[in-house]
Amino acid sequence: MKITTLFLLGVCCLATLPVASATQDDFQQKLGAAEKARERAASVGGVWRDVDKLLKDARAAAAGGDFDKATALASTALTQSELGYQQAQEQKDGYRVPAALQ
Amino acid sequence: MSIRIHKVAGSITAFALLVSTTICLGAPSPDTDLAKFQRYFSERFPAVPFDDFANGSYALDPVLRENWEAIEEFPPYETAIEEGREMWETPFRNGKSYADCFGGEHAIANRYPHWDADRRMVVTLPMALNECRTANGEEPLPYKKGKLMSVLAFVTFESRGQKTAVDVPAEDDDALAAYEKGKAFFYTRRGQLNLSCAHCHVAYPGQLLRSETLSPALGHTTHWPVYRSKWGEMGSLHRRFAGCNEQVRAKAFDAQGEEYRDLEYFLTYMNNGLPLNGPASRK
Repeated sequence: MKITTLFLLGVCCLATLPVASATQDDFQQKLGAAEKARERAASVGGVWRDVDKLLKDARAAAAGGDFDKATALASTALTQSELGYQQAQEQKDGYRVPAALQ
Repeated sequence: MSIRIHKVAGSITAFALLVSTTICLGAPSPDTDLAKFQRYFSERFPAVPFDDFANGSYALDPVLRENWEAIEEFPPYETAIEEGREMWETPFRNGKSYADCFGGEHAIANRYPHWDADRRMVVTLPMALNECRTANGEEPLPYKKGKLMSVLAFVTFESRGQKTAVDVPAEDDDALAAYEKGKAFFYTRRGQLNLSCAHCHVAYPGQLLRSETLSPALGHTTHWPVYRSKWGEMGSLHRRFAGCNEQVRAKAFDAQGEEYRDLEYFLTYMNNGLPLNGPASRK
């Protein structure tokens, strides 16, 4: 009983500890990387639909001082842009015509 | 010296073998692509007469067809045809008109898209209409919706019954390259959903995507512009291309940009022989 109570108290204390939050610098760094990745994807026609909106929302969140949200959105835009570039490169010479039409 | 000659001779022989092997295996060409494409759909839907593919999903599903035919009794694109006729007949500010750009003819839809040998590019009907405007001092019109759709509606209505007849000149490498780019676009996976045009419109036509029946790619180019219920207005083929790209969560390309013009070139070539039946209504 005592151990359980102590354990629960410990969990509660941990939950109330402040988590490391993103700074403006973190955001700027992530945004720069995402914008660069977006341009790279655009150079091969591989931009995904939501990337521009993600970047726009990220800038808006940063303008409102919410750098956690802004950094998370920029991070998603970065990942999507990297995947879009990778997809376009793989498909460049690797697209497949269905067997029935070959 | 003799070793070098042997190496050169060896290279030539290897190249000749490669070329002859390619020829023997039947290298893809627009002609063979076309034959295989149309045969695939005819075998997939043996009950659908060839010309009926021009009606899209309505050729596949009797209930959809019945609803569509009811809509076609009072066509929602009729006002666009009339507005287009008026625009066609109204002279530009310089006194000339659309007819002057097209040799006095208005049933010109089956001339497009075509490879323009002088400009080294694919030219589409909407592009030609806008170029007619700018050549006569008028502003170009938007390519996805609006008044250009009315002119297109008039021209395609007057062209009804013509057969799709796109040419890819075999002797022109750039024309073939444009065709191949369009083909590559059609079969390329894109967007977050990682789907190509062919995934929906070659592999799964006739099947449901949520509540919508997927249309076969054979017939995709015959009937534009379209009054689409979802849009509540007339729209162009390139608007639909953009919509499809966004549905697979890819960023759409510009209407009348090189990507969509080449795609239109390939896709319309695949539709060769089908009757032009635009404008049309779609869900």
